[in-house]
Amino acid sequence: MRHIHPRQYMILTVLYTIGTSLLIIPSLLATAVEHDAWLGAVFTAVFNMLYVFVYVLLLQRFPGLSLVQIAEKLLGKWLGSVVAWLYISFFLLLAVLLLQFLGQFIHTSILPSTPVWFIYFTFMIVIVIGLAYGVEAYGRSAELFFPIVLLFLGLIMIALVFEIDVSRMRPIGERGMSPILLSGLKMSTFQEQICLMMLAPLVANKGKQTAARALVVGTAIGLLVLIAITLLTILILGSYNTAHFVYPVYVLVKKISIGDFFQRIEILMIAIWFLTVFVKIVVTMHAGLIGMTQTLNLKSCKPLILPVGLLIAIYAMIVFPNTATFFEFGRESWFSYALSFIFVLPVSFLIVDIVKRFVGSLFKHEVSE
Amino acid sequence: MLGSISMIAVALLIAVATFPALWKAKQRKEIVVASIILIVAVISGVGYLNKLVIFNPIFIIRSTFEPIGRAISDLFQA
Repeated sequence: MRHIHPRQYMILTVLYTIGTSLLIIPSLLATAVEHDAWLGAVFTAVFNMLYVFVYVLLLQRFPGLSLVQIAEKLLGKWLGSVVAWLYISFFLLLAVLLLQFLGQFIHTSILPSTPVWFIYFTFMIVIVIGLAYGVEAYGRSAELFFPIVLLFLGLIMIALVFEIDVSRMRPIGERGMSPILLSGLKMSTFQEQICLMMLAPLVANKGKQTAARALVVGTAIGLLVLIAITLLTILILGSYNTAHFVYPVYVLVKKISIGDFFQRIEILMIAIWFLTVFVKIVVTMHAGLIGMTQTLNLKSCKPLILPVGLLIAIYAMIVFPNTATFFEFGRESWFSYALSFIFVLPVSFLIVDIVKRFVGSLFKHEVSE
Repeated sequence: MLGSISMIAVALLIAVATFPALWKAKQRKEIVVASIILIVAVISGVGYLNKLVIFNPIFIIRSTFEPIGRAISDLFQA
């Protein structure tokens, strides 16, 4: 079986966490809580770390098992299979939504004359190639991309520091904590680190460097970037502009102009975003493929890569007719749907495992007496 | 019409590219699963090109989870 180093897993986690959140979270938070969007991002991070804490507990209790294997082990063959297939459908639908979002962004912002299906299929070809080469290949690619992403992000943040106006974040907590908590909870469902649990068995743990530790550190770094970017959009664009632009970070980066020669670097933002979304779609699709392979007891997921890639590219055209319906789905339905898979089910697994072990130990105690 | 034919042609290409190796390696189960996925993809694609959406999971998700999401939002706002 192919393996990746915990460091590569950590980098995949960072890039996965940043993913699409970088572009859409600031706008969604500002719509909900205006200038307290940065506080909303902080609570997003808090909720995400809570979810990751649950995943770490599951990884420690079931070492070497993926999420669908944990479901089947805990819930039995039939109920476990149902839950496994629900997770597989979640991963594949997530891949469809990510591809759709990427395609819509490129179509509206960069290539308006290019048919959107062409963008979906072109990107899917790259993803299929990445998956065909396996987790080691795209793990190494992520390792190569990571310093570039950090460098570009650092450059953008430094260039924007001079545009900050601290008064734009005041007054803090004007509407109370309840709307901020709710927006933080809703936005925490857009990072979906649960997919990375499917890749955890592929990590070759080395002493203290384990998949669990890499997941925690990677998530923390990704969320810090998210908080920083949200804070910058509020301090520079203000809450009104952040809420009313569909892609405020893109608009933010367009403002950079130093000495009349260091400008028009929004392409750096697009480059970062391409890399992070590529990693996110590859990992999500791989999670779905691993799930199908394990649930159906197949020898390998490679024969399924092309058909599933074709299915995802086609469904990216079908699911939403336009960006407005996509954002409406993200606002109204995604939160509760995703929360079921990223928190409710994993916590249920934990509770079932605790109860099973407790009952098992009681029974053992009675038998020994 | 041209789009439907292209969709079927792509699916056939995928089948031709992958299935012989799978048959030689005796991966019959993988062939069955890959075929089912390809058929679903082609039917969905041809349906979409003829402006007929056969199955869109978004409808099920919206009808099931939108009320739950609203209930949670109301809880926070109460």
